[in-house]
Amino acid sequence: MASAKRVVAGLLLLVLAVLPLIGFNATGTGRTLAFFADPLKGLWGQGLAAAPLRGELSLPGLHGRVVVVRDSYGVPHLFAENEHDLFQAFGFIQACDRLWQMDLQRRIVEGRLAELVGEPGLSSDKWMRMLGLGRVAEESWRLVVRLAEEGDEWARRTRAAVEAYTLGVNQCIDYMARTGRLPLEYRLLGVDPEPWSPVDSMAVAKLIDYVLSFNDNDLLWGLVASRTGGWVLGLYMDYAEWVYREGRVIVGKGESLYRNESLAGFRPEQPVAHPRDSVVLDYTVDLEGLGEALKGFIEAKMEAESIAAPLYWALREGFSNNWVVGGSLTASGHPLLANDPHLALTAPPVWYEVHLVSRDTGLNVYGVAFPGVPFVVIGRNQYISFGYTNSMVDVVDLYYYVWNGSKYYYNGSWLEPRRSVEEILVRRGNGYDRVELEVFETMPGRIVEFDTGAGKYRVAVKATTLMPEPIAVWAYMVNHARSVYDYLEAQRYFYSPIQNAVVADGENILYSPSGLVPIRTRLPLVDVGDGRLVPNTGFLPFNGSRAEGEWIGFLSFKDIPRLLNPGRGFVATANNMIIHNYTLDGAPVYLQWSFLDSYRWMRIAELVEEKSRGKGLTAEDMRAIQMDVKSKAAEELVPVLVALAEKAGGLGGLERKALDMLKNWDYVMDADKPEPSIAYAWLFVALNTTWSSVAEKAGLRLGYHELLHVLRLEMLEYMLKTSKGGEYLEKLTGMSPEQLASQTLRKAIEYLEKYYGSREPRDWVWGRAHRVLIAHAMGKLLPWLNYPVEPAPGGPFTVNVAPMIGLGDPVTHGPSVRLVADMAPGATGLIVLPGGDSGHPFSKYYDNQYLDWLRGVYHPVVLASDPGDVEGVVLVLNPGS
Amino acid sequence: MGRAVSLAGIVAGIVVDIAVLASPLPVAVRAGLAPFLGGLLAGLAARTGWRALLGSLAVAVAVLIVSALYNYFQAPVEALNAINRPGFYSFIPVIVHSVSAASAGLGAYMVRTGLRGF
Repeated sequence: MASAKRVVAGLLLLVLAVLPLIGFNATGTGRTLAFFADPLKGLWGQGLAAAPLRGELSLPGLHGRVVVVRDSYGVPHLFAENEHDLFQAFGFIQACDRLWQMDLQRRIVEGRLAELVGEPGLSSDKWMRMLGLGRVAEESWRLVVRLAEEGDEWARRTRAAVEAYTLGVNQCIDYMARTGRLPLEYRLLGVDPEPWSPVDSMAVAKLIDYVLSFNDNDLLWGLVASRTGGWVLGLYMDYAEWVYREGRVIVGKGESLYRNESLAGFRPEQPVAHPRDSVVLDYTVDLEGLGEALKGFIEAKMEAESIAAPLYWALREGFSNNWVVGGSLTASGHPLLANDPHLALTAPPVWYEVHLVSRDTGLNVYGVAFPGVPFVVIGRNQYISFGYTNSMVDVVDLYYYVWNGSKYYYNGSWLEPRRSVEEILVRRGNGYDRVELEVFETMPGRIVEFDTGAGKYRVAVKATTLMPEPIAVWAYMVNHARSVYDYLEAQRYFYSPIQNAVVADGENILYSPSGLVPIRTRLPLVDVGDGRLVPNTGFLPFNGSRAEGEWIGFLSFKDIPRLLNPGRGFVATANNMIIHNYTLDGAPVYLQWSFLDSYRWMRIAELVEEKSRGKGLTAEDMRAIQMDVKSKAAEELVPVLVALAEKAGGLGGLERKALDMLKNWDYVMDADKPEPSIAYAWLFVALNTTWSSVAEKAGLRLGYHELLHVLRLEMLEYMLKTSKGGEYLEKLTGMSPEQLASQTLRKAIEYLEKYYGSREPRDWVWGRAHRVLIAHAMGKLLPWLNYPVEPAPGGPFTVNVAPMIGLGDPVTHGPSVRLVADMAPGATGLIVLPGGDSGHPFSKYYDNQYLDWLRGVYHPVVLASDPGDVEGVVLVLNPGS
Repeated sequence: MGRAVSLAGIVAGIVVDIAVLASPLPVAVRAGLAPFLGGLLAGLAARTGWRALLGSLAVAVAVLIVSALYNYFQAPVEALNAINRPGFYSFIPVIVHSVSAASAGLGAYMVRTGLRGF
């Protein structure tokens, strides 16, 4: 009996012992669990997955030896005899560092996310398939190939570089699969990477284009105006006029635009239109009907982007700073350039830092590239430096069509849209479900399938983002450019996303918005209040059934407003207003409607002017400006609010104490101070109070980040500082400025008390509420993939930007790289990334620059032309079979 | 003699465990089969229940140490990060390997000795 019991117990133990084997093989997530459990090649073995850093490897296809020096920051410096070898080696090295990220990006664009993550990725895939961004990427590559075949030398060289890079990426995939080095993410998901192609590089470029230019502004303004009334548009126009009067524009009053009649046009040639060709229609927009037509569309877009949001780009506020200073204001007498593009902060970072040298062409360029793209996008070579911010030029239009279930109404007729069927694979367990999606195309663009108002309307999109473009040629040419004039030549190949480019060579500085600016015709009138009728130049969606707002061409290349060596001595851009009342032969040019608050721009301009006095600006000064956390928004608004609240009277003890603290504050948003919390909470509550009725009527959440592009803080400043603005404020809130100030102060104090759990203002330390979280795409499931959470200085309106929505929300967006380029002979510059070059969570280069980035510790840009001049570990890539 | 057999069982267990882990078998097979076989061999060779339990645990511990050292010598910094950073997840190989091997070892011993009476 005893033996029988022991046998049973023994058998039970054997069953327990064999359970992992059964479990790992039986369940859908079994492979993932097995990966964690395997001590040899599983999680513990993932250290091996980090890119090879030293030794020698053979890469078939190389013509000569490539030396890769990995410096102490983990940055690879590639030295090759020829460009073919350079780009092949770069493909290999970059993929070995960032393959998973590259793969994820192309899958988002190509609408193949659900193949990886299953059902949650489906709405994103449907959205991308409807937009056809993957198809646009294919056409972009065909365009490069066509230009190359037609004899365009730059296109030929670009094509060769992209093909060599592709070869290198695929060699890395083979190498990693062969040696058990596939990135952790593949092991967790139980999938293998597919081969890379040149189209995938174009897809990555299109994703960035989409993120930067495909905004919701028309849609949001359409919803806001339709529910609140056209006078809200009038408020915006008056505010914009005030911004100009205050001098908060990139191209200031009195600046002479750089015009060069000999500049050739876009390449390949694009239809050019003159703004005077626009026809204004004789009827006014039915705003109520517009709101009805857009119903449901915003939710659909938000849902579609929600999956990609936490996974990747997400909070795309589009904030960025760049400025370029001419030799007249610098200590060296040569230009300085700074750029910190603000994108989602992700682990690994959006950018990949690299140094590329090829002896045959003399290429020597250092900077950051997007993983999946073989060229440096922000950086410098021996001759020029280049950086970008989002220009906020309006390049996206929405058209709503009356729809009868199968046809759309257009200009008096019912037309059949072009139809195509997309097949989407959705991962389920170890297999896939197939989902078919019918995509329609109208005359101006693709119809977005989501139901928008009981099936009566469909919405179509037209955007420069959806145009194929030879942007790869632009990037290649910029890497080789030797002067600002070469840069302009390269810019002919750049269509979208339209950017504020600042460029410097040894002597000159250039500001040049890069990209296509559409000219629309058949513009209906909009009643913006006070009896004012203005044409809808593109700031609201158009009635496609009435053929409104069609694109007749683009602003000619030479007419794009540019500055070359401006009289002011420098140019700064921070997504603010570019130029006001720009006209060509008396006809107004419509560039932009929505731009961002001017506060960062104001502070940059102030600091550049201040620091350039005396000895002149240095690279260190530029670094200090990038790290500046004094809030111009607080400086402009807080004293006004304090005065109004005191005027209103009736303040409690705690409110009085808070006001006293604010009055003695220097507006510097340090993480260890309480004043930034008080100011932030007050401005946040005031902003919400001002716009809540508008957002509510429009059916929008104020927390929806893109809404903050539309209903903004600087507009509140305008309303508080001008009498006309005060009238608008009363119309919006039913309150006088004094009432608004005192009521919102009270609410802000309650908000702070509740959040911090203390009635002592000294406890309301900013860094406790304002912390940076740099997350990995799978960081919600596995938090150890994220970088450590740290208190962050700065705020949404400081030059060193660190936006959050409400107290305690993580800062997930900010400077995605900080670069300072010094164009003095022998000087190079400074740079830092919010993380590291490696995408492998166990690599020492996964987050090695993170704390440096947070504290403003930069490292030097290196332009050595010989591997012996760079310190680090050496990997030699040899030709092989 | 018994001790030598037990020791041989442990050594055989370690060898088989590592061989399975290093084999090209699918990960779901490797990670489950290796500790089972390793523990089983140690348990079958043991003379007492305690020896079966400790012997099979010794197999697991040895394999875990060998794996960690192998990975450490391949990429020292990265291997330490792979063990340090993931927190609880780092213990999964330890838990799975130890529990599975010990269960297999003790279970095998009990079935073997329990059967002796029939």
